[in-house]
Amino acid sequence: MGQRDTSIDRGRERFPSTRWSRILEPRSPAESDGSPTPPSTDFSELAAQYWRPVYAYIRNRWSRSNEDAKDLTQAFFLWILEHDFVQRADPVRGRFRGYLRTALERFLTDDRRARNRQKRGGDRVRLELPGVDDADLLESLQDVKAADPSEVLDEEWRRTVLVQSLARLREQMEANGKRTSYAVFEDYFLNDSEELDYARVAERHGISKVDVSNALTRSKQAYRACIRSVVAETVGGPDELDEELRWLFGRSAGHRGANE
Amino acid sequence: MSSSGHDGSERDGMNERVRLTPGAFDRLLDAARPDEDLARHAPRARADVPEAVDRYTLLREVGQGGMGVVYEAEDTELGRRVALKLLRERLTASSDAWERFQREARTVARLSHSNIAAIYEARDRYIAMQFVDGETLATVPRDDVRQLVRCVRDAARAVHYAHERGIVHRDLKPHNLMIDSAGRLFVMDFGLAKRTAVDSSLSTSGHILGTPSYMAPEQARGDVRAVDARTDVYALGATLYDLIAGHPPFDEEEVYKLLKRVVEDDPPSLRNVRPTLDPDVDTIVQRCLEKDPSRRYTSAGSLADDLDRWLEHRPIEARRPSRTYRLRKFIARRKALVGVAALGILGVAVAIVLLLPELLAERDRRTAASRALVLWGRLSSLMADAEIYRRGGDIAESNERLDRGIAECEAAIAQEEMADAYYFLGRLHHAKGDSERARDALDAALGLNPELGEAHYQRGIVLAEMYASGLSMDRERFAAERSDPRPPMYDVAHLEQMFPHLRWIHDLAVRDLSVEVGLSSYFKQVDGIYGKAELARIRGDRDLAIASLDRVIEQEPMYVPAWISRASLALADGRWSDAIDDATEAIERHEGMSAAFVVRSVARLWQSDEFESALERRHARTAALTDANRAVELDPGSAEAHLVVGNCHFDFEDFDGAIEAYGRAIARDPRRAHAFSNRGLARLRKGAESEQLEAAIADFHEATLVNHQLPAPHYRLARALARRSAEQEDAGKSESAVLMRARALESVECALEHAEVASPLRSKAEELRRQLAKGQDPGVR
Repeated sequence: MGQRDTSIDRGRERFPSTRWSRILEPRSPAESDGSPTPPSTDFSELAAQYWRPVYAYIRNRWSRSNEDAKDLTQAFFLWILEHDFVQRADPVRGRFRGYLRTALERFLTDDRRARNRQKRGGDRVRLELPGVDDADLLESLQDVKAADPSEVLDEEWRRTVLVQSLARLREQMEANGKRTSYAVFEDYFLNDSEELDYARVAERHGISKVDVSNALTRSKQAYRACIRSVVAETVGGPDELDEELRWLFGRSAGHRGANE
Repeated sequence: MSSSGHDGSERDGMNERVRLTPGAFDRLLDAARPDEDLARHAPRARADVPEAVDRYTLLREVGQGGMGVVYEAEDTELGRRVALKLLRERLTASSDAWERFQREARTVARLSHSNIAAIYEARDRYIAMQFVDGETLATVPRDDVRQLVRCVRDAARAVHYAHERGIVHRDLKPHNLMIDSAGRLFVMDFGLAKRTAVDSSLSTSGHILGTPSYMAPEQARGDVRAVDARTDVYALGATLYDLIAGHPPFDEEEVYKLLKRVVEDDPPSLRNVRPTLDPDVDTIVQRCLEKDPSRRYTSAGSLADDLDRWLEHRPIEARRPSRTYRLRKFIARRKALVGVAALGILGVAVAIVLLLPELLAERDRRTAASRALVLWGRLSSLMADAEIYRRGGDIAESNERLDRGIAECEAAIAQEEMADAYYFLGRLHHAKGDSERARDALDAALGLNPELGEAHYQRGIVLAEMYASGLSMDRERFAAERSDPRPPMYDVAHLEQMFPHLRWIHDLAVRDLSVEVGLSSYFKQVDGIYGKAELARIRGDRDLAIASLDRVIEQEPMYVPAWISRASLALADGRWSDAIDDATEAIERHEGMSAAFVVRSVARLWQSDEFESALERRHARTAALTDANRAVELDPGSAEAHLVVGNCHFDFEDFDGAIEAYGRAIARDPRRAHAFSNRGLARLRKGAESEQLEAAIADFHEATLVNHQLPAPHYRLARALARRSAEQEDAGKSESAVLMRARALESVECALEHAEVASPLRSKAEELRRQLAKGQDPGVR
C-alpha cells in the first residue's frame, strides 16, 4: 500500500503551532547560555502526558523496582531539561517519541546518570508529573510484560495516545451535548465483559439501532480527529504527523509495529 | 462523573485515566485505523471470508455497505486488481436484495467517467469494480481548504455527468467520495440509490442506510417528486460543509431530531467554525444548502463552475450580483486595498445609505420567509405522517394528522394572512378528499401570492380531479335523467358538450398547470406538463398524454411518475414490453413507488399469456408475482396492489390465495368491480360446491353494481346464474330454475350492451343468449 499521498494535506496551509514544534523553535542566546532553564510549560505538559511509556520502558528493560523506576523516570525528564537535550537532539528533532527514545537510551546507558539519584528532585528545577497509582501502573505493565522489552515503549505509547484521545473525545462530545454518542462509543469499544451488538447497545441507551450505528460512525470519526490532534502535539510538522500516524496505527506497519 | 472546568479537565482526565483491557485496547487500535467500516471492527459480527470467487482471489476486506462486503481482489485472468462487492450470504436468497444488487450494477454500468469508479463485471453474487487504492474523504486530513474545494468540484463534475444521463446519486457524502494514491477523486456507490422516502425509513426503522445528515430537506421529507439533480447539489454542499467544519451542517444524535432540523433550521455559518475561512466559500456552501431547491445551483455543473471561479480567484456567482452584494464586495476590496481608515467616515456612511433599503427588504423577506419555512417544516412532516398511516391502512390516525394540520393552518391564518398557509390548507383538504375546500383555499393562496407556483400546480391537480369525477357523475346523472338503469358508454366529447361546465373546469386546470412560474420552490415546469398529461389521459386523449409524458421524460428523466404513467398507457394499448420497460426505468430511478411495480406486474402477467413455452410462462408469472408482492409491501393500503397479487395467484391456480388477496383489495376499496368479479371467478374455479356458486354469484352481482359498464361481470353473472338454474332444474325446482334463467338472460343482455363489437366476449355472450332463449342447458356445469 506504500506511501499514500492523498495530496490533500501536503499543506500549503500552515501547520498549527503545537507543543513539540514550539519546543523545537530556536531559543534566544540568553536562554541557552548553559544556565539552568525552568521547564517550559509545553515540555512539562508533554512530559506529564508521556511519562508512562518512559516508565514502562525503564521498568521493563532494566528490570527496576516500581519505586526505582518512578524515580528514574522523574530523573530522566530532569536530565533532559538540565542538559538542554532538546536543542542538541538534531537527528531526531522530527518527533517527540523518536526523540524521547534516543534520549532514554542515552540516559540509561550512562551509568553515572543512572546511579546519580541525588539530582532527582533537585532544588533548582522541578517537574510535575501527575500522581501515580501503583496498582494502575502494575496493571498496565502486565499487558506488555510478555512483549519484547524494546517494544514496550511503543506499545505503551500507543496506549497513551489512545487514552489521551479518549479523554479528549469525551470532553469534546460532552461539551457538544453528544453525551449519548460518547456513552455508546464507550460501551461498544471499551466494554468487553459481554457480547454487545447494536441491538443490545440500543436497548441499553433507549435509542434505536439506527441511532447506535450513527452514533458509532460519528464518534469514531471524532475519535480519529482527536487522535490526530493528540499526536499532532508531539510532532513538528504535517509530514511528520502523517508519518507518525501511519507508524502508530497504519495497516502496513503491522499490528504491533516495527521499530523505526 | 462530572466533567470539570475547561482548564483543569485535561489533567483531571489524566488522573481518572481510563483503564484499557487488552480487548478494549485492540478494539480502539482498530478504530484508530483510517478508512475502515464499523462492521469491520466488530469481530463478533464477522462471517467467514471465502478465499476466491470465480476467477477472483480475495485479498482483504476493505469495507462493508448495506449491500454486502467489499474486498480487494485480484482478477487472476487479467491480472488486475479489482474491488469485489460480494452480496451478503444470507441475502442471496432474498429476491429483493438480488434485485437491488442487479440494479446497482446496471445503473453504474451506464456511466463512464474518469471520476466515477468503473464497473467491470456483474454476476449473480458479485460486482467487480475498479479498485480505488486510497481513502474516503471521511478520513482524509482536512487542513487545506483549496484542496477540499477541488475534491468537491471534481465530484460535482462527475455527478453532473450522471445527471445528464438521468441518474441521481441520492447518497452523496464524504464516505462515498474516495481519493486514490495519485490524488484523483472517485464518486463511489452510484446507483446504490438509497431509498429516498424518509417515511419508509422511519416507519421501518433500521432500513435507513447510514446517516441522513447530508440529505436535502425535500428528500428528508420524503417528497419523491421533488428529488432531482438539485438534491445532489445539496448533498455536495453538505459534504463540503463537513469537510471544512469537521461535522455535517446538522449534527443531532437522534435521527428524528436530525431530520426535523434538516427541514426546519438554517445551517450555521461555516465561519462560526472557521473564522478565517473566505466568506465566498461559505456563500457557495450556503447556496447549496438552501431549503428551497430553486434557490440552489440549478445543476451540479454550475456548482462546479462556481467552485472553479473561487479556485481561480474570480468573483463567484453564488449570490446574484445584487447591489448589496456588489457593494459589500466593493467595500471588502477597498478595505483590503487601502485599509479601513482610508475609506473614511464618509465612505462608510454612503455605503450604509445605499444599502439601507436593501437591508430592510432583506430583513422583511427573512422574517416572512422564516415563518413560512417553519410552517412548511411542520406541515410537511404532518402530511408525511398522515401518508405513512394511510399506507398502513390506519385512516383514522391519518385523518387525525391531517385535521391537526388544518387546525394549524387556520391558526396561522388567523394570525396573519399567509399564502403559504392557505396553500397547505388546500393540500390538506385535498389529501382528505375534499376538493371544494381545497380549491377555495388554493384560490385564497393565489389571491395573496399569484406567483406561488405550487399552489397553481396543486389547484390544477384538484381541478383535474374534479373534472374526472365530474365526468363519471355526469355520466350517471345523464343516465338517471333518461331513467335508464343501463347508461351507455358516452364518450368524453359528447359529455362535455352536454355539460359545458366540465369543459370549463378542464380548461381552468390546464391554465393552472401551464402557468409559467420560475421563482418558487417545489414547482417545476415539468410538473405542469405532467399534470396536463394526466388530464389528457382522463379525457381519453392517449396521444396527447403520451406526447406530454415524452416531453416530461425528455426534460427530466428523473421524473418517476411520468415513467409510470407512460407505462400504464402502454399497458392500456396492449404494448406489454413497452410497459415493462417504462416501469423498469421508473423502478431503477426510485424503488419505492408501489404503482410502478403494479404496472410492471400487470404487464408481465399479460405478456406471460403470449409465451409459447410453459417454462417462459412460468418465469414471467413468477416475476409478476414478485412485483405484485413488492407493490403490496411498499403500499399495503393500495387496493390495486392487492388486486394484482390476486391475479397472479389466480394464474398460478392458487385460488385460495387469490380469493384472499381479492378480499384484501375489496376491504381497502369496495369500489373495485374487478376485484369482485375476479373473486367470483376464483370461487368457481376453486370448487363446484353450491356455496361457492352462491358466493360467486354474489360477487359478480356486486361487481355489476359497482361498475355497470364492464361487460365481463355481466357475462360471468349470466353464466353462473345459468348454472344455478340447471342445478335447480336437476333438483326438481323447475320454478326457481325458470326464474334464474330469466335473470341470466337479463344479465347477458347487459353484457352485450357493453361489450365491444367483434370481441370474443361478445360472441360468447351471444352464444349464451341463444342457448338461454331456446331454453337449452348452456352446458356450464
